[in-house]
Amino acid sequence: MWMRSQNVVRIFSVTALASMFITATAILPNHVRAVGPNLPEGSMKAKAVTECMECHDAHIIVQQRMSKAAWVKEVEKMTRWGATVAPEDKDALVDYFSSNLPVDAPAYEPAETAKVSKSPVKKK
Amino acid sequence: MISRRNFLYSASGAMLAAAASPHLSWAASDSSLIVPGKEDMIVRSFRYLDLEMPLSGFSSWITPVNHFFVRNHMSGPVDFDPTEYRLTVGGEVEKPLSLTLKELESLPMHTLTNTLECAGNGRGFQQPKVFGVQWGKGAVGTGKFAGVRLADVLAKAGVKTTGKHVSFRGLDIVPGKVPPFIRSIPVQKAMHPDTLIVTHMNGAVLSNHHGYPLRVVTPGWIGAASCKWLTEISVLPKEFEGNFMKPGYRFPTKALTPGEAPKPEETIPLTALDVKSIIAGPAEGAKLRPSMNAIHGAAWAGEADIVKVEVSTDGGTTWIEAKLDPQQAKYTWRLWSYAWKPKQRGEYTLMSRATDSQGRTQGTSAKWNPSGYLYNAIDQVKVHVDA
Repeated sequence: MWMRSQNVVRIFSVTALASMFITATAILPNHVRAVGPNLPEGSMKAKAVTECMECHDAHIIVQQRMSKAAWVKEVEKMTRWGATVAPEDKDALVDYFSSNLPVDAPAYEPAETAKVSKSPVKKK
Repeated sequence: MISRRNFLYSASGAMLAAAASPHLSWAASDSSLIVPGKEDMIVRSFRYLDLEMPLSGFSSWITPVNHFFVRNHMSGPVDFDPTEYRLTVGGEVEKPLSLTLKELESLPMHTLTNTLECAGNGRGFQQPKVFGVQWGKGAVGTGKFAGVRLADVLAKAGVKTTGKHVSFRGLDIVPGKVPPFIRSIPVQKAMHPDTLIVTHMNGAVLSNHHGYPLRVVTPGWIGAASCKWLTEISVLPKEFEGNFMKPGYRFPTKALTPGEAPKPEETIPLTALDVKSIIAGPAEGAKLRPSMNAIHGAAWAGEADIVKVEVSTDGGTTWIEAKLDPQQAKYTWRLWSYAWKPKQRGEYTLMSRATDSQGRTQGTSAKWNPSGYLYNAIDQVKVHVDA
């Protein structure tokens, strides 16, 4: 689902996006929740998208550079806080994160917010 | 125009070139994000929204709202009617209150200039790495706040002698089984005349990002002590013990070796900020001419005052005092600068080191803690001087 959403977002022109921004409502709508970086490929990607991106977007995940032990603690914490991770999925999910986002992975370069004042903002 | 009541932020992809490492192509940020009221901010997280001030923000003593950092553990309120908004005061008080915004604003107004810093600012520099928002230098800003004294509100309710701590809860939307964001401060700090419930920031009504219609400003303390979207105050007989007080936002009482975990009983809640300075320019990796160059930045120390900032251009062998900008107020940062003319070409490591009125000085490393709080190691920037 998120891939379809991303493609929809990509085809907007800047003008259309400005219009969208004018009319958008407060919470980040679910259909654009994956705007920004993607999660790494892997057999547990779908699980990570379902469970992590229910609340977060990918930025907060892909900036982490942690050991396997630290990923275990984080997955356990998020499970306590509402993520649904079956016991048989836990190890695979930890492996997915710790192999793709290890301590020695290259640094993550964050995005910036746009210059809103340069957008063709109209009054509603 | 987007009304205050019906937006927090909106999302769209604005076609920014990907900048991530080719080794992590899947992690590329393939779009910039439109966040009304925020420009050129570093996106540490979009949901929940965590935005970092760019280094250019350290050039202004007062941080414009559009450059002021944003830190959220969860989403803020989406839609509410200000006429229905209530601030309640309960717990160890003689007379519980439920105040409208109008009733609150009838109390005497006070102003305060305060440097607000997220406890995790600089976490991205921590070694070994720790989980959390990987903030660089800019989860900090200085604002001019206006509002009423928390002490005046508490006086209306009448704090009982059994009241020792004061907790705050905002209108954050709590997701899943996440504990609500509630934290407390000691009653002495709550009753301090500089601790405010603010309605205005930099001369304008608070924006949603910064807690409209009400936020606490607990001056000189970590940002988490300044609850946004404030709606509930409770006077407690003891410190609040929810997740964001325990185990969250705590600091070890004993020095630890990097990577070591403290015993829970040897930790205390974070309160005031530590002494800190950062170099805002030149930027890391800058190529400079062997002419006059300005090394500049900011320094702050929570409840203490900055006494001096020293700069080293030789990797910490020798130190020279920088010039402090005259603009200052209690609880605020001091901007500083040093005019440097390198004598020869080559690689240089620039450093800054602040000292405060409590005699605290930055060290070569920060005090290790497993959440990367209060990172304040001597700042370093490597530059290249060429012809």
